[in-house]
Amino acid sequence: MNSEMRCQDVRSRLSGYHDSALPPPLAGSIRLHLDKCPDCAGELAAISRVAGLVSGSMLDARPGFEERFARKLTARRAAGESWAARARLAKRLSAYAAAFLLAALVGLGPAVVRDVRDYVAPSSDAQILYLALIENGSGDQEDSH
Amino acid sequence: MSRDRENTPPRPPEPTASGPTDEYLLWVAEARTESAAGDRAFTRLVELYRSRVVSLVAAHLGDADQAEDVAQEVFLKARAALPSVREEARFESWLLRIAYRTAIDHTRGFWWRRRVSLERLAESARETALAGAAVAGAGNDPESTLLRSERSSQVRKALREVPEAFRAPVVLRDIAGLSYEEIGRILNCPLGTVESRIHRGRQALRRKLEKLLP
Ligand SMILES: [Zn+2]
Repeated sequence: MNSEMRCQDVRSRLSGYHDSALPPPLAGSIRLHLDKCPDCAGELAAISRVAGLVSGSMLDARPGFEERFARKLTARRAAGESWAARARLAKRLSAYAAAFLLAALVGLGPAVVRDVRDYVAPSSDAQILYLALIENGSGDQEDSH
Repeated sequence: MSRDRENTPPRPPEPTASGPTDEYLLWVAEARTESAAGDRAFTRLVELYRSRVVSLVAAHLGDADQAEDVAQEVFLKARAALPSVREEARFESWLLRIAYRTAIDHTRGFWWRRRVSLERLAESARETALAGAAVAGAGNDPESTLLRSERSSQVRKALREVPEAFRAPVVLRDIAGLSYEEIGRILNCPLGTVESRIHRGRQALRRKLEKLLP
């Protein structure tokens, strides 16, 4: 097999190479090419700089983030029925989640749709979905239903 | 735009390349229980992931202050749903997926969810003043702190201008630190697509950043 790669082919794989996400034989061929080709090596350096700038833009939360979270959690639970009871209810009713979802989508409008979407696409786990629904339906003090 | 919070606090043990640590898995297991102990364990996970969640959200919203509220929402959703989730070892990508989807929803014009409270604005202004005073008072290279902060907000501005299809995988990779496989699962696309979108996203960013940060 010919391990010589063309610049064009190398360049399209440089992000994968940078992230060590390529199969070893391909990464090896690219490494060989980079040793000999300053243009492509320069491209890799540019990609690397961009990746570094993005990861360098990390923030930390403001002080007290966990405390604010704990307060919100407490407020939500106090506002609804007991959280544990809701979770048990969710388990029991998970078989009806799909029907409930349909009713919710029709009846409760976009605010619910919004939260439901978080769970529908990634997991399609009826229980998570149902929990998301009841979480949205009660105790979110910031929403006006 | 807002000031940055660059000093990341020491972190609890994180999942390493060789897999999640036992201690971490115990926290996740504990956090799945519906109890006060579960809440405490979950709070440790909040501490562990808050920086990544806030940063991920900020990268999509372009606004660090709004990101804080949305990050709180992410953790509340996660706390509610966690007891019914299996696969503890994949807690990280599960949480970051919720963060990603919540952030995206907030970028897609659900404007009635975007509440900026007066209290928050006042608090924010006060902290900015305090941060400014701290920078002015400290001898530890205030200029580079300001430059770094300015650079970060330029990066977020540039990210915001990159189409979502390319921004999302770049953020999941470079900020959330996920593997291509995990990104593929979250974005529901094959590895080759993840790779090419990350590449195109970075190229787009590079063009924008070359103007902003020559
Ligand atoms: Zn070349």
